[in-house]
Amino acid sequence: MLVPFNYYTVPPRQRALANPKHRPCSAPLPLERRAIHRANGMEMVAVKDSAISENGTERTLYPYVTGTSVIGMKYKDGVILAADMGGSYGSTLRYKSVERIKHIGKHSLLGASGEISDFQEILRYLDELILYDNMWDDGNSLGPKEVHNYLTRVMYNRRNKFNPLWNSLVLGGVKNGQKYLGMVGMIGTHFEDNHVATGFGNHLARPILRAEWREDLSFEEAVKLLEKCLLVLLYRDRSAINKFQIAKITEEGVTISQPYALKTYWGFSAFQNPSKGVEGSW
Amino acid sequence: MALRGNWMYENNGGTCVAIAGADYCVIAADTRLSVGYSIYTRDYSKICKLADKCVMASSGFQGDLKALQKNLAAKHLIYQHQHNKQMSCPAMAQLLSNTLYYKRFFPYYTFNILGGLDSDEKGCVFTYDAVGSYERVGYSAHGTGAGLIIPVLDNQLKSPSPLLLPAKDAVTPLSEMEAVDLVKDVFASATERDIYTGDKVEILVINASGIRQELMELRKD
Repeated sequence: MLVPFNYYTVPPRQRALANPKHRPCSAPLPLERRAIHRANGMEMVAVKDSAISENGTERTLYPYVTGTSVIGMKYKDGVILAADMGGSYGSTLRYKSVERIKHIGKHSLLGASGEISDFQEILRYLDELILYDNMWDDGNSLGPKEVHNYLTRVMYNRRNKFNPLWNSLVLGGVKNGQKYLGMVGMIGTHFEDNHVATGFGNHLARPILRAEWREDLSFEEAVKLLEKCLLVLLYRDRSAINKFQIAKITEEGVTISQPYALKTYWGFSAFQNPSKGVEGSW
Repeated sequence: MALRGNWMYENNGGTCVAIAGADYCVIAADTRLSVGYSIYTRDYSKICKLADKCVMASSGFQGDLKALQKNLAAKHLIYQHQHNKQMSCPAMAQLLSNTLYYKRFFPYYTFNILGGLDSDEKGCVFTYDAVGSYERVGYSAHGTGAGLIIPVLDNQLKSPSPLLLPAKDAVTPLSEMEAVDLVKDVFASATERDIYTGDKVEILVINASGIRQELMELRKD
């Protein structure tokens, strides 16, 4: 008997069942088998689009409020990150002042694209991490490499539990003169490079950065290069908005700029008189 | 397994190759990390030195790859503390097989090759599938370019059939230099036709004097 995927049976009274941690293997029970297993005289509950198990827990299946690309690159004095401030709810631009770049501890900057609530959850994880690090009070502090590794482990472990944090993270920082820039994806794919980007940035910004990035960019040159990438993303990524923050981190510290907009050009002749030729079967 | 859309795995591409010789072993893997039709980075190592005479190269999903490498390195460290010696290559081969099978019902999406010197200082190559079945062979290749490489290795290395009686040694009679040249040729060829292979190839040679590393540039397109 084949039970449709999104129907679950729920025992009429008792909900607390065997602790899933006691299951011998790490994989959860297939959803269809769970339904058939309890299909003898118990209620069938139609659950739409969310994976509610017997214990009443839920897990992320797709993102709701999302941020678009983050781009970052190393420059002469440190690392520079940029992201727009939009939070889209599907195709609606719901939030226009979302800060998607935050500083972590003394040495790192974290930028996130993807589900904004999961980003906030990651910030809570990192708060606790930095707090415990400070409480040791031993003069040591977590650098960007350590934070990147921690985030990689967190993302990978959440993916192993089938409950991912739906984000692509960019982690940049400077510690003891060493610049570091890395990225972590939602299933734990991670790498380190001189310039990184998430989402659409990978397709549109990385080629520009590959052609024009140099080791010894000054801050002004780095900002110009980043703005060139941001402009392309603004024109071509439909979830990008014209309100950006640029953040830089050097040995001295972190600076996150005030929101600002880029100048765009729409004066092409094809855009004048847009309803010309509207009549007709085509 | 609740695979709703298969989001939890991805293939980050890449190819790895290993050839066993009489007293050496060559292991190589390209350094490109890809996602879909994009390249994340051109400089990512897929090789891990597990022990003094034992090196693992893998391709597949990079998250699982790193986790597997960490897992094995940790287990090796414990072994060293308990036995006061490094693990031999055949021992590591068994450990890798067990580690992979442990996750039989939520596999590590990694295709591994273990290479090194066995207890008699002869080259050995062990080849694996994603869930731990393994075999000692004379040479092996895995990954997106494997289909282009294995036929060439079959032709050049003429490894005898494992069904022969008495068993013939699978290690190649080629010298170390010739084997390294063959590996370079084979990667250059795979790069031409496989979009996920390219950028650089990292070649490690293990012999009695230790591990030597070489990087060769490949086409970046």
